[in-house]
Amino acid sequence: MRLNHLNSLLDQRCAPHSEELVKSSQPIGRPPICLPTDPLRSTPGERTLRPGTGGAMSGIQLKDLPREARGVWPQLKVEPPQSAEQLAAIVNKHLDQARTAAATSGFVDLTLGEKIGAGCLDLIQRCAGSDADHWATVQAAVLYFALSEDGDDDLTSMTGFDDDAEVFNVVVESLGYPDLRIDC
Amino acid sequence: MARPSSSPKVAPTYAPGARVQVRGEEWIVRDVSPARFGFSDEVAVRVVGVSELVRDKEAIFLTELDDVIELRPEETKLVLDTSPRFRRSKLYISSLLRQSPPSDAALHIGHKGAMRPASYQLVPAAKALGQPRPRILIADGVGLGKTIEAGILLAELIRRGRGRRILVVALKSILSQFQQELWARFTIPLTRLDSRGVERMQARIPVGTNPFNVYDRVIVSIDTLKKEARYRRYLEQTRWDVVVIDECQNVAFRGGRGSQRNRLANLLGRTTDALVLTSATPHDGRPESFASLMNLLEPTAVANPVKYTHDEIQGLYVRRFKKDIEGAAGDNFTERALTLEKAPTTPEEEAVLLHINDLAFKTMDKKQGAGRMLFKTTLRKAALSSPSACAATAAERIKRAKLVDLTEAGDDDAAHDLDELQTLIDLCDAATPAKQAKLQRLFALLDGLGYAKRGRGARVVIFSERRATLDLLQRELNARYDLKSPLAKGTQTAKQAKKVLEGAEIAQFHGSLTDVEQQQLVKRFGAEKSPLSILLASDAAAEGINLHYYCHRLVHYDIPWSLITLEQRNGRIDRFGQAHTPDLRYLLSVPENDALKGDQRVLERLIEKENAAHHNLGDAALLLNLFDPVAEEARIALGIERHEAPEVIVPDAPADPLDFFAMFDDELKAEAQAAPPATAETLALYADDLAYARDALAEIAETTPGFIEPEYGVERPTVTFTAPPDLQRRYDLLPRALHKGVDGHWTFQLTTDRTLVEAALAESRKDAEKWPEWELLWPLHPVAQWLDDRVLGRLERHEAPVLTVRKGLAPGERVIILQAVLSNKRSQPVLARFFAARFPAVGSAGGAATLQDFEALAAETELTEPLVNAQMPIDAAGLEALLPEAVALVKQRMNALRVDAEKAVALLLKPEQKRVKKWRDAILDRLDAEKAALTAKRRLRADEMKRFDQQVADVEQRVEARRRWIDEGLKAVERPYVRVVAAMTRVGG
Repeated sequence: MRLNHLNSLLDQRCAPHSEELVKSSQPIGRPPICLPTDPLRSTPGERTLRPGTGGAMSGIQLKDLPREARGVWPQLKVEPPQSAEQLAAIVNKHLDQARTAAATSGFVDLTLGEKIGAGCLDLIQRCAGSDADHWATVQAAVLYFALSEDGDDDLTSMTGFDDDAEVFNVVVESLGYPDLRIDC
Repeated sequence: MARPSSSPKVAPTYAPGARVQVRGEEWIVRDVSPARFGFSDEVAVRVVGVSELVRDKEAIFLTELDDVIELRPEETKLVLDTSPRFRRSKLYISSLLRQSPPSDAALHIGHKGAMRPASYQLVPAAKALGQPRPRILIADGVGLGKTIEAGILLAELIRRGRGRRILVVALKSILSQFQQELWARFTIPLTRLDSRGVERMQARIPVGTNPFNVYDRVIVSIDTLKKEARYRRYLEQTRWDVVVIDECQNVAFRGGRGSQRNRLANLLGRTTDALVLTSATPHDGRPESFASLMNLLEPTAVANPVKYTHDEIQGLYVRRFKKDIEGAAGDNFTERALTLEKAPTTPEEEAVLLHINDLAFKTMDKKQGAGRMLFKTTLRKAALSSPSACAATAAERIKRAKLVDLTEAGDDDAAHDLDELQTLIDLCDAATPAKQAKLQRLFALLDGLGYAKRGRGARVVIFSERRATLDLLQRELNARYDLKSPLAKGTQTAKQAKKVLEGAEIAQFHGSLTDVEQQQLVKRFGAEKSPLSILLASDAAAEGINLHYYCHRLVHYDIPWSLITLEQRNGRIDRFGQAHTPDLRYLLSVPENDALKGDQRVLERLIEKENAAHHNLGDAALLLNLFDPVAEEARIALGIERHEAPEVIVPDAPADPLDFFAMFDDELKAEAQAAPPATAETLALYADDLAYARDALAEIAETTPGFIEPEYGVERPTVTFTAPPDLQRRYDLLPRALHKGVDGHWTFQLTTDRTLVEAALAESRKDAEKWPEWELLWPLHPVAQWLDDRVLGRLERHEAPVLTVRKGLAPGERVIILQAVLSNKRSQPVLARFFAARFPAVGSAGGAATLQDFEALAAETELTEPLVNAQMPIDAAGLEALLPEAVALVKQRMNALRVDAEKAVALLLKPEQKRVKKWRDAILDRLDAEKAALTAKRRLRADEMKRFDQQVADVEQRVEARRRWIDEGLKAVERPYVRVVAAMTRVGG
């Protein structure tokens, strides 16, 4: 079930991703979350190591991750790389789904979901242009966030986003962006 | 024209009180439960017939087999109510209000049972209802009224639609007592499955039928469940709304794989929603034991049963003592009086004690310690009970150790020991009853209580831990006072037990009696008119049973070497509701020889410290920190064997404050001093339940041929009436003791006067066979529920009444009153509301329809006041045209309320869910580490792998069960049930 969901999610990578797509996924009445223009934006595989705090190597061990993520993480980590725009679109799409779900269910922890979403977008922006290993880690964090049936379902459970937040925190620590940590 | 929806069954969200159509007939839903436990979304809908052919017939339909079609509220037919004073409308609305479940944590009904509850007794129910899943351990000290506390919670759960199926598990001795208490005070009818009940049940239901599916509310002893292997299979297939386990220390984990009782309790914990545990001694000092109770309440509470923190068990229990609640208990407690009755030993008794003192066995007592008492100490303890007990113990050892055979075979050591023991028996025999100081002292005591003259003396319970002593007392007291003194032996039915015990004036209560014998004795001793005035009790009577109704005197013929047992014994008469000063007498042998005085000093110390703990600490078990009577006995025996000072054996204060509750003392103190729990009133259109019943019976009388006019009390709020056949039928599956007559002539006597019910309860105690004459008229009584159903059925299919009022509405304004219920996936109601959709006059400046709470409308239109029905014509079609909009408004509002309610639940549950995750991770991390450590040394064996896998599976299963519980129990389905209750217009339009 989870893997099916993962596969369908990953199929989205083949769809055209653009600024328009990012915008079109916003709900009516909410300001769209757009990636700011990044001079370092480049195509996957051509990224260069970004100087600064983000230069730390990601040395994430499976045991550092929440148990829910340990099974799927290696698979997410080896997914073909996607562009920053594509990842941002995935983030926004998942947020859209969470907002829709929260309109009819008081159990969805939208506040936490929004925090992780914003953190993911920030991370994507900061890491755009970083080396392949870094990018793979960022991408894995984003894809994990977008998986709704990881552990508890993001879109029905009050703790659905907890594991996403834990994964995100492990990732930002490992990449050297502790300021992006989320309280959960 | 009203017509049923053509859409077949959709989501199973039938709210209690909803009208449905099944097999062409119309029914009212009483409640809904899962059809097949755990495996299906289909439900069983319990209904009462409304349409002519099935009127008042009860039935259960499975949605799997039948189309249960909810009647569309938008198509309700509105009809003018032509009854005087709009009686029918008010009854109809009231009936729905009375069945509408509260969704807050305030107490709505439990505190209104037939009792005068102290505020502290409301706390457990309030605490349990404040949690998403009502599960609690009521660990109050002895005699604080735990049964009443459990009853209050049960009443609240029933009122919330979460207490239809109840299982109470209690000691066999108190089944009858518990059953009567819950009926008399809360009108909760429990079917008693003691040996007689099982026999009766077997005669009534087909072989192989699960009895727990036949009876919704059952009380049974854990021993019966344990004994009957088939019960386990039945229990596995049964789901309960509430399980109560009384004296739950008996089901706590005691080591190994867990006892059968422990495993049964775990099974019950898994198959119930709410769980109530009660115990005055909830742990035996070992953390694992208490953790097992906590994990019973919340399977994900404690990760490491050997070491855990307050956070892990927070909110799962209440524990108070008499000292904590004195301000809140009113006059329900009376200060005890304690007297040491010292009896200087006779020379013959002294000889027995001295002989024991000098004993040196050759074949026994070679090792000391490890919780084992020396046989010499056992003899000493027995002698302190009575010479008879000592002789019996010695004779038993001669037999068991085969000392005669060994002696004949030439074993000199055995011969020596045999000689010593036979000498001891001779010395005991020489201490004849006339030469037993304690016995003579007891005679003097009883003489003073009126037994000297032939005739009944004052009621007294005499405790001894030895059967031989109890036999001696029965013999000697009978001989001295000529008391009728039968011996109950293994009678299996209540009838036989009654026959055997008929006229008994003195009787023994001990663990070897059957359940019916024990219950008969408790009943008789608690009945004023019963001749049974002396109860000779072993410590089997020290737990749970109420002996205080007509007795406030207790004699300890011997002193148990356990503070816990002493406390438990005293708690039989020194408890909540005792009207007289509990008179506690301790008979003590006082030897002359200094060498023998050590034992006496230890016993005096035990008495003194139990009393001090009763006043100061609350829990006497804290002093020895062993929390187990057997362990306490072993500790005291060791102290005596080592000649330790009494102050060393029983310290002044806890030497090692490792008590679980002491760790949380501040919190418990704060709780004890907190403000009384909130109570709330349910909106009612009648002044009280009697006013409602009066109107309802008048309405029923109009449509029931041969219905005899009820009689109403003049000075007291009472009603007496003869039950029509459909009401009698409702009692078919209720306990026979509640059947109110024979041959179809049943008379009910109901009252709203709690003091009258309490007086009737007290009166019923005068006669062991009687149940209270007056029963509480309140919404939980089966008669009140029958009234509710009957008045709902007064309206034709899919109709709602229209009232015309003079106040509160603007000219031309029209109002639709609606009820909306949101249920969870188990069809239990989670949110119920009444609304008024107000439609301004056509063309008025008011604009669109608005929704307000019905309570506000009822106040504005003075619905609670007598109304005048001038039979004004109404525009039914115009009102019916408003229904779709009114229903849509309510559905929209209910969805918003549902999201808000879910947010509130999520806020409450989120920290708990995080805790559960931590719990899971802690266990899985520990298992991973253990596995890794083993794997580093060698390859794991298959059984070890299996064990690890099982443990992991168990953890995941508990987490999954919790997830399922949240999903099924806390989430409301999105489609609310909406009913058009009534419409209202202004007199004159």
